Amino acid sequence: MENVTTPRRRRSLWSRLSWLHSWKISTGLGIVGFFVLMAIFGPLIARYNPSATGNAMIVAPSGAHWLGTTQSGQDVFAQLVIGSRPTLIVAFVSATVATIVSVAVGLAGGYLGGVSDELLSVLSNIFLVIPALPLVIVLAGYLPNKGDISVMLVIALTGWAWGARVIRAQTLSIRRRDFIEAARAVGESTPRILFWEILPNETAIVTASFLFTVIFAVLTAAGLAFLGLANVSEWSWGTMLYWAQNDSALQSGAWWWFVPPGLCIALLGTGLSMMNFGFDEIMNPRLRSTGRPKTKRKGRSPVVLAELTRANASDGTEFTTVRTATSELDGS
Amino acid sequence: MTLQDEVATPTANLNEVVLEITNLDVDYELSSESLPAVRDVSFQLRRGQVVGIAGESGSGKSTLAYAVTRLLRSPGVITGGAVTYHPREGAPVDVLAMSPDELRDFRWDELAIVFQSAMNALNPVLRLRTQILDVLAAHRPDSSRLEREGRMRELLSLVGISVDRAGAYPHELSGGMRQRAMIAIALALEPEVIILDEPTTALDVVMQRQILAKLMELRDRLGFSIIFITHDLSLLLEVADEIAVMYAGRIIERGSSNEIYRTPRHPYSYGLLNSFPLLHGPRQMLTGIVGFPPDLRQLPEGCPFHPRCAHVHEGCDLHRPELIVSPVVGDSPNHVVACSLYDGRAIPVQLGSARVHDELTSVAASVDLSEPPGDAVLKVTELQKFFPVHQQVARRVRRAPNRVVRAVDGVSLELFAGRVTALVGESGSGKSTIGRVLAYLYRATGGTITLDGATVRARRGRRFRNYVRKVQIVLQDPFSSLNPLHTVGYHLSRPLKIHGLAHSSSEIDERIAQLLADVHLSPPDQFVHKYPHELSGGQRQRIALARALATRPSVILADEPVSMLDVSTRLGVLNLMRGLATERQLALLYITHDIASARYFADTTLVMYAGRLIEGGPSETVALHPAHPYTQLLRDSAPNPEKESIVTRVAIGDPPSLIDPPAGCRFHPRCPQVMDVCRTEVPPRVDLADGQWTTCWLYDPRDGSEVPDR
Amino acid sequence: MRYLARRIGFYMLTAWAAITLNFLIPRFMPGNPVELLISHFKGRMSPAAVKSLGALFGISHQGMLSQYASYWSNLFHGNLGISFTYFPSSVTSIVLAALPWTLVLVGVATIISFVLGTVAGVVVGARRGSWLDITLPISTFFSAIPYFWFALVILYFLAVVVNWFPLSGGYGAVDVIGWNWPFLLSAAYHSVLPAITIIVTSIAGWLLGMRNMMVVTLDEDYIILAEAKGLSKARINFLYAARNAILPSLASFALSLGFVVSGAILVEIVFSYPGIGYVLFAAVNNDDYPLMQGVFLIITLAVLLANIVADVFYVLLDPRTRQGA
Repeated sequence: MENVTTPRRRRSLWSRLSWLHSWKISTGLGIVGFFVLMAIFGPLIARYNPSATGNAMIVAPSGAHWLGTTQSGQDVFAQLVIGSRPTLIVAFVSATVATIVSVAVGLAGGYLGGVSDELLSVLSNIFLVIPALPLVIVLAGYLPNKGDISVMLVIALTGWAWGARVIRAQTLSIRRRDFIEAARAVGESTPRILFWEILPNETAIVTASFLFTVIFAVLTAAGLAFLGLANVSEWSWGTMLYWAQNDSALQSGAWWWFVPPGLCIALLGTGLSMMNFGFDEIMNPRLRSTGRPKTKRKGRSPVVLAELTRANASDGTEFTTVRTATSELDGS
Repeated sequence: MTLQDEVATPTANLNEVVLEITNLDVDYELSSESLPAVRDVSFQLRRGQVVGIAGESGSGKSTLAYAVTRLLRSPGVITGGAVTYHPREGAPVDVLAMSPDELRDFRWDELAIVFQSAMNALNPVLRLRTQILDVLAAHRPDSSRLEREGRMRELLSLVGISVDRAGAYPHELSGGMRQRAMIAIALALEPEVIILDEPTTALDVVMQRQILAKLMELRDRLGFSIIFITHDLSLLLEVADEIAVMYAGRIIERGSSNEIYRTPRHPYSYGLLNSFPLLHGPRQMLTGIVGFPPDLRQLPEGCPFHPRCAHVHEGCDLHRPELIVSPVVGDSPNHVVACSLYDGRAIPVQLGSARVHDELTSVAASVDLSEPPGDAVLKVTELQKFFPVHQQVARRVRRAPNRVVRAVDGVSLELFAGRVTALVGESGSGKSTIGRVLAYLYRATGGTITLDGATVRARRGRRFRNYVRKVQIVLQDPFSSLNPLHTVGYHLSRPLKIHGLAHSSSEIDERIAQLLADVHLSPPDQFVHKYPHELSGGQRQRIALARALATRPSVILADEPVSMLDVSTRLGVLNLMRGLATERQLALLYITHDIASARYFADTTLVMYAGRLIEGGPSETVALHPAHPYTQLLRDSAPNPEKESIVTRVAIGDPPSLIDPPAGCRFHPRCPQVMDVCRTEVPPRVDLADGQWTTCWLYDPRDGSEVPDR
Repeated sequence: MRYLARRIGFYMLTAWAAITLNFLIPRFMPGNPVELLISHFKGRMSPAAVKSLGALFGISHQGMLSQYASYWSNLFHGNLGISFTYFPSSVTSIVLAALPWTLVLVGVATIISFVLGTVAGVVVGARRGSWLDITLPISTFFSAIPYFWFALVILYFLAVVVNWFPLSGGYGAVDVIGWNWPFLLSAAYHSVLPAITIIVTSIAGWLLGMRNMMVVTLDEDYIILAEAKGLSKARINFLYAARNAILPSLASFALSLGFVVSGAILVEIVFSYPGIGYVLFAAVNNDDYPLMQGVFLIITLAVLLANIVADVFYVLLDPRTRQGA
């Protein structure tokens, strides 16, 4: 104990960033990062105006058109690249809004308890059980203008419940830990307990809930666009599929038209899921695919440590102690 | 062997070895390094014998159990040594060389294991009967269903579970019943050896006693041998024939239970024996052991115990002593020890017999109890705390009477400056609830709380803030009472800032340093910036204590402050608290389940049962001469190495439900001396001699004399 | 049974919430497109039909409460208004005609996918660390695929390129709907691709969830004890581990089913399958608000019923929910 004299600030930063070293998280981050770059620099690499029609109609991929052309001779690659930006913006903004709602509802319900908690959790359970897409369709159907903002609002409205439920559960469990009682006993105020003591311990679960909601938003937005319930004059992966379906890309055999946007959605989703699984494993080291951890690392996220020590403290057998100790050694 | 085969031969040959462990090594093979979890462990188990393995966290004792049963999972790997099983007939077998099929026959037919937590070890979705029957079906495929059913019933009655509970699921059984069920499963095939891994640690003292008594009775009847693994040396002193003490993966001393108790040779064993108070003998100062159990990753060079050893001398940090037969004259040849005090490298020192310290007065005894304590700092009258049972909407709509758990039901007590008051009770007795209500973590349902003569009524305002500052709590679990994301410095700075006790940052730093010094953590800069996970349990509990001290309180509520710590480090924390209470005239409420530690640590002891106080008085009197039958039961259940037999008076059943507590005296359904009046009338408080009082109909309410015969 | 009663109570509350939501949406969304439509169809509708549409969509001068009352009374009479797309058919009749298609397709596909995914999850989880772990990244990818896109791809390859399966529809043009073999066979044939789409895209979720629960469960003390007791590997994996690991899977059925149903709606659209999803598509394309809302209501109620079934299984599998019967 005495000779642990590593520089503290650096150590804490290092342990805070240790999750970067999970291959799932880094691969996922790589995939998502790739699409984010595409969204930012799209116009620079598109080469064509995605809406510009041309004479080369339904042309298979070639040097001139890397991903071929549509029925009206538009460049599919340009559409894909330009379309990434609205797709990501809609997904991330609606997920951010939904996550803010989740955190507010989850923290308030979980910490305050009582009638307000019961009402909030019934409300989120109702939103969880009602199938989201039909509701989104009905809501979007009524919208007078079908712009991005209304789509984002509708998705946020239907997408917050899952996050609220897991954050509430986590808050409930943290609230029962002694350090919260200890903070109350020395006289900490409720906001301080919520935002300084509880919320920082929920970083992982909030991140997971956010990533999950992004996937939900990507898929829902694409579904809406595919149904024509979004602004179909704007290029996004969803509207590409809408036009492909409407202009019978299938019948004309233009696989290059409808395969890329769906593949991008699936890849983006895979990247996000991988990050999510990575975080899951940090929170629950037993999920790792190999029995014997292979990664080599010393630091670890404090959140995990809380989990470990709790597991450790609750059953106290030496076997578990060692089990957790070893996973603690190797990080995750 | 058929199923009905009950003909055991309990007194085969006591010298015949059943299981032999030789130079066993177990490693934790991590990718980065290999940790020595168990090293060079050898011992023999003889037929009908109980061998105890004692050790603290990280000593490798449970790993040893898993290795012997070949249940060790990754990353644990057996890297050397042998485990030899000697069947009654035939040649010895090498357990480590068994094929999976041989292992399947060996396990449970010859060797069974009982885990610590029966709740986790029983499959939650299967009925108890299924979990017993499937062992029988797996190992006795030729037996008929009827035979197996018969055997299952027989096993249940053997461990004292009524046969009509066979259809119950684990969650429908009480903790004690589950542990009995585990034993029934272990006995199913009449194994030769049973390994008990902390079999009673999760249970209350009274239940622990019952289970142990049952086990020993069965052992006498059926003649199996036991390897008993526990952190609680006091238990082993009672039940084991031979004890091996483990430290950092090695056996550092082994001998007969009597020798380990009377003449321990290793300074660690000696320290361990001085780490827990007992109920008999004079009340004396116990020192525990300084420091904390080692980390497997950073084992000290030489003797792993030397950084904590009171007899450390030159060379201890260089040579790891081998296990040798104790050369001390009079020690039996079976008494082995690994300490350089005995291997000729140093001059032998007399450690002395464990409990015959020179007349060290107990720290507790240093307070003169005959002196009136002055006015109470904290006075609690008729305190009640009811928790609502989760209500269904339908019930609420029907306005059915509210169902509540009456966790604390009319408790009055007073705390005095400089005095330690112990509150003793089983889990579920409401003792922790009292602590939390007094710390204003829970809102009291009824009663008054008065601090320095002023009653707090609202949960806001100056008077309330003053109360919060003056009354501080130390919680049980040091692993969860500090926020893993904040540093020690942050934790200690908060109370100072909240209550405006320090203003400039230099003043805060100064106060923090002082606080750390107060709890004997120095130098301060080594701790201020650390995160909780970098500290050991004992260190964390000291930080929690320092945080409580930061507000300069007059009352400290300590809720089982040491029960989650390693045995050897408990005394350090207790003694520190005792010293602070005396020095700063703090009123200390010590909440505990352990009546022996109450006797050691507190001036006054209060005993709680099912939400009510049932006895109180000077600790020495209450612990040694309890008046209430329940307190007597607690006393008799406490470990006592000098006791002849571990079988004691047995209380029937479990503590009552607090939703619908029994009428009259709440203890009457379990009381061995129950009378008619107990069932209907709540016994009043009866004052006995010397400040002792109780609530029991055995004593005449008028003069406290014992009621003759009923 | 208290647990089940509580769950059913909750589903009834949810049903009420969904119905009320349905009532509120047209009244609180900006503008009221239904009013426009009604005036469009004015001459062709009976005054009674106009009145009931008014009650359903809030074109009325009554107070909110009495609107709410007549809304419920309409519902109880099975009156969900008139569809504009299929004018003058009632929404109820259209929805009821489409419902069996969806129930059979989505129901059968979901059950197959749940069973296969769960069993696969048990196997992969039980052999953690073996080569079977390569299913994990693959499943991750499949769980992120948009259902309708996979439908397009499989349709392209198996119907356009190799022409093994029909391009669209739920049955052949010459078939007569009813209990006759040619029709049933043709319906089964037409449902293969949509069913494969739903199974392939939803199976990964069940697999991953079950695998993770298996891995966690296999570390429990009762598994170690079962192993020590000398039980067979199969008994440990199924009766001890899977039996416990499946509980969270069932408990999260509601959430997952919502996803599957949402995906299935889009799949039907791609295949022009005559189920509820396709009806919804038609409604969306024609601004047919009564039909849209009717479909939403029916889907929600169907999902709630499916959840009740899942909860019954849950109660059967987990004795802890049966306490205090």
